[in-house]
Amino acid sequence: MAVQTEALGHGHGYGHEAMTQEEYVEQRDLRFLGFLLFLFTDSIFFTAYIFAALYLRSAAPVWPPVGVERPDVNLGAVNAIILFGSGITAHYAMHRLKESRFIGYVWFTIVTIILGSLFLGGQAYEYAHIHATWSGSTFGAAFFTLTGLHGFHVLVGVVYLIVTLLQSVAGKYTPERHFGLTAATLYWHFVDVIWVVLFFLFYIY
Amino acid sequence: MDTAYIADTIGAIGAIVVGFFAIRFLRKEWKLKGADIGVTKVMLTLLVIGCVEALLVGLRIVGQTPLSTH
Amino acid sequence: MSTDTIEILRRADKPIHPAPESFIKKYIFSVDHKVVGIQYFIVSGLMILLSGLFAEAIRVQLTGPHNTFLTPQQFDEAFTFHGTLMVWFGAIPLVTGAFGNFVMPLQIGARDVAFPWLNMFSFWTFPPAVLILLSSLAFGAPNAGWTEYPPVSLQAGVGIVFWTTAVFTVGIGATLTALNFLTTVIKMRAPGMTFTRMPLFVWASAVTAVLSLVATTALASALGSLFLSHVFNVPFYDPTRGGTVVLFQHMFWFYSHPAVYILIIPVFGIVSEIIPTFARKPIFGYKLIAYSTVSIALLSFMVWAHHMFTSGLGPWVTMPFMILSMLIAVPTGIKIFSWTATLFGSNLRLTTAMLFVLGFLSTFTIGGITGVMLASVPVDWHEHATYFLVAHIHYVLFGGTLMGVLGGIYYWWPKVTGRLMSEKLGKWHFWLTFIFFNATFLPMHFVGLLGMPRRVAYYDPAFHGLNLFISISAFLLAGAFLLLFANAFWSLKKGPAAGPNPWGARTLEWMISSPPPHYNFKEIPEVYATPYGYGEPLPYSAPYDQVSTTPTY
Repeated sequence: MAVQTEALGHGHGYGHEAMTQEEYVEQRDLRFLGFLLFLFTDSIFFTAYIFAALYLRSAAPVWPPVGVERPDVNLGAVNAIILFGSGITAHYAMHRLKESRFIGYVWFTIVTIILGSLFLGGQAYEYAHIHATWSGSTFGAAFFTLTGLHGFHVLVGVVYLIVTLLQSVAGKYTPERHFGLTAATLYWHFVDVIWVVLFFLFYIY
Repeated sequence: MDTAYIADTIGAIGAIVVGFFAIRFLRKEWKLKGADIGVTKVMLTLLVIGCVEALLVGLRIVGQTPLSTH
Repeated sequence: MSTDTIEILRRADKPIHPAPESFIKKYIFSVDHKVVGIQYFIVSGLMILLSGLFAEAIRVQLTGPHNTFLTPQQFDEAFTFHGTLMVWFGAIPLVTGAFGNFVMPLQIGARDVAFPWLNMFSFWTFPPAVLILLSSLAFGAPNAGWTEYPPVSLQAGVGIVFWTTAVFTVGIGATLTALNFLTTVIKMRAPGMTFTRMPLFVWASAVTAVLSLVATTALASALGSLFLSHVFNVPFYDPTRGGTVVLFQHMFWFYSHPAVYILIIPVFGIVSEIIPTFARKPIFGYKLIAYSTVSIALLSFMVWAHHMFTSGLGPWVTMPFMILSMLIAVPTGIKIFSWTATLFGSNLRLTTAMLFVLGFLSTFTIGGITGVMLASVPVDWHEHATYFLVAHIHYVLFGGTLMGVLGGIYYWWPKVTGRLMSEKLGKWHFWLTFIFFNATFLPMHFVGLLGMPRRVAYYDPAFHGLNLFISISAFLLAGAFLLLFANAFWSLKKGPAAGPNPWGARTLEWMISSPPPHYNFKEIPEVYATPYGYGEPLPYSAPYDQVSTTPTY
């Protein structure tokens, strides 16, 4: 005989507000693992293109190829520091929320958003002034593809931060329940550390 | 003044400031446990490496060779 | 963060999501893993049929050495669509999306996957991808084979843009499914189900999820670069501007070699479930089978260049890849011997499902042996891009994956539909499939060794006799599949009620009624041992230990 499983009562769905704290923690843990796996798979995406860049480099007699110049390393360093600094402010914002200092959280998030946008502006400036084109050389191909992909991630991150800011102003996040913010902060850190690798790859190495 | 010189100065000072805060956070979080803290530790460590990169560029130790051959 | 497993989602009063009421929520935009699994089954099944039609068109062309049934251009499109549809739109969604979705959560005693909404989203990336791919037929279809090597793929029309977009889209769904499954297996197993108590199909699903999480994203980057090369003229693969076409082969095969294990590892899981059920014996070497799956997955990331032995990599690259490729035969051999040892001395029940698994064992072993031959560099130089290679891949993917999947269909059909299939029709289906499969693909070894190249619409008249024989066998092989549809329709209309456990199996999905209710388990069972202890009491907490394990078919 099989165990009959008659239909269970209709649930109330899983809005954040309806959950008890234990339920919330459990859902958060599930989503956190899923989010980490997402970041892992995203990093593979970058890794494959980094491999491609190194492969093209090894196939070239000189790097960057003749007639192509690297982007300006000095301005690149300033731009990198802007992005790395935004990682620190994002971290601060997260801690302010955990400590129930809401105003501090809002200000640090706004600073993070501004720094992220400044980085994108810096990238745009670089794109306009670099002596290389996307279709002209393999250096250009690798540079514009990887930094473009990264820039897209930064853009998504900025939008993500703006959305979480609006949500938190609407009262969605509390010191106890803020998975959306944890995810946004982690994503922002991820975007930062990708640039650590790309900065080395295109500006220094 | 030379723009590259200004950029280098800003980059080096910025790298020291950002690196300082990153290391401070890392020290604070070092003893804490949990999956999210673990990931944050990895991220902050890489961030410190990034700051070292920027500092070395600012001090004109790396990144000055326009062409590299192999 | 805090706990390794879930507690609250297991409570009897906490359904994951309410039972759907409207037709659309129940059958179309359903978040229930069972419905999503059936949706995957239907769409990927249709794709396999379509792909089979392309294969038959290829065989019609090859009935004569200079046939005019297809132009060379159409012939190229036919084998490109055959491969593309079979790999990404047929077999991978079938073994992961369909079998993984339906069976895996039931086997770990969960009410659903970790992210039910995401699961629905994964499925709904699939039909649009199909439409994008098929619409390319109207705009200059891709014709460089399923691997789409540049520069040939970049010289074709705009079809390559459709092709990359379609495979990219279906890849997003595959990655999200993998992410979902891995979270589910890690977090949502029933209490007491440690990793070494999981059914072997769950092991296979989890390992496959890791593979597709790493590999599918790498494929996405290869597709992305191909897309950019065509649309924005980016010189990744243009030697005149410093690019190199071998780069694409590296990026592509870094994905596509693990992809063949994405295709076969779930089938290893299916086979590991079916064999002990019909042998009525505990499976031989449970841990060996589980760990050899893991080692196959690890090795699969280190062997991609054995697809590129003729690309001029040089001996210092090809030698290690040759040795590592041959090494894969060791864990695979462990599996084959463990399954054979399970069969040894058993009171074997030759149901249709079991017959297909025996067919799998024999044909997959042949495919494995030709695989070791091809892994050897000197042999590969001779056999690369001949019909020997075609014979090898079809012995592994048809004789391996599809044969195992057919066994899985006959095995789980009563659980999914609640009705039995006709054993008589099923056995006819098996014998016709098995005979005509070998009649189709065995002679391909011979014409390949004689030097007939693949992917060419015309051939030397000296090969005419064998090719005609292959083509006729291929038509009859396709005809054998009509018996499966007849059987399925008969079963849905008139099939006798299956009861909860017709085969007398011991994994958790057979402890509940067929078809399973919306929430699978009203109370989540506790698990005390592996499910393969035939002859012992069921290792589940009450009331799940009350189910009869006497076969009733």
